[in-house]
Amino acid sequence: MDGAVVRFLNSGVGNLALFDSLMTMLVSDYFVPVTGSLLLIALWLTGTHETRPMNQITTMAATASIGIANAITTIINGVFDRPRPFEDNDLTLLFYAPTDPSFPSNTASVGFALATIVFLRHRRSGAVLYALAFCWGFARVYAGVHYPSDILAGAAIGVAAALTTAVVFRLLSFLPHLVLRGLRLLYAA
Amino acid sequence: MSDFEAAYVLWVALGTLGVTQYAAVSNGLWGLVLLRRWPGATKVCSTLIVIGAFVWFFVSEDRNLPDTGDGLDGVEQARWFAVAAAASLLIQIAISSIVNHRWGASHGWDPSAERWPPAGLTWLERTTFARALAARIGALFGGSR
Repeated sequence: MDGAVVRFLNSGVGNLALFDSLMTMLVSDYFVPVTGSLLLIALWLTGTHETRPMNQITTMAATASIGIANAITTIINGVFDRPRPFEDNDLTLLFYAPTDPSFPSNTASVGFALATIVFLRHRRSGAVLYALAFCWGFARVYAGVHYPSDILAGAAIGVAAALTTAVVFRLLSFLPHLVLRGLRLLYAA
Repeated sequence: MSDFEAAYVLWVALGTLGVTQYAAVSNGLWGLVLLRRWPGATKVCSTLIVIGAFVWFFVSEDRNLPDTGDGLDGVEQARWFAVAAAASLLIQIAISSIVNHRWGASHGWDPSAERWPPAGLTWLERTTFARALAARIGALFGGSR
């Protein structure tokens, strides 16, 4: 089933040059992470005297959740050495051939962790990030470097990491507030 | 620094410039804005800079390079992003503090009435970063009422 979905989606490569160009940009290691990070910079500056601190705490939580999601994925990658789809199927690669294990997808875990934590505070920005994370995951399957189950598992890890981070930040809320107090003295927050 | 790393740094720095200026104008942080008198033009220019940086980065060359080769792995990407964003922010702070220096003089803080200047980004609605930091340092070392 997993392989059939990849083969079906990947069979579209080469049919529409414009769509392939879009997928080549989306699938890259840089487009979604940089877009998301720039959005976090904007979030840091956004708001009024009353609302800005919560946006800044969201930015800190997002950074932490990305780190946690990345760490969990790396650990699981070390346990499940699943080959990439292009190794077991006759596919047209739209991406370089990664050498690390396929399951779970690190890109999906990072993308969904970022989207989830931002969504908890900002529905609209979070929805945009969810759309980006979904497109990033879809592009990875289309390009032949991930199975859909890799993306689903990565997304689940990302969402779980973000929700856990949100709870920890709420329980230890004095810590980010302390950091913000220090940064405010330097006009950095 | 490789050509790819240089391109990545330039892309992030330009993206940070556009995003910061747009957010600063939209949230009234006038002390950070480079073209304070032209908020509309700042929004348009910021948007064009961000879009232009993305288009340039992805259209000029194939950017899908192996992260085990000429590309950047996660750690390298985070490091170069931090360097580029910090450099871009520092340059913006320096230039905005210079071009808004006179405007920032009427910042509403009276050292003879209050020991400490206002804290936080909110004060950049009324003054520049350099003036705010100088006031804070001055209050720290100079002064009692």
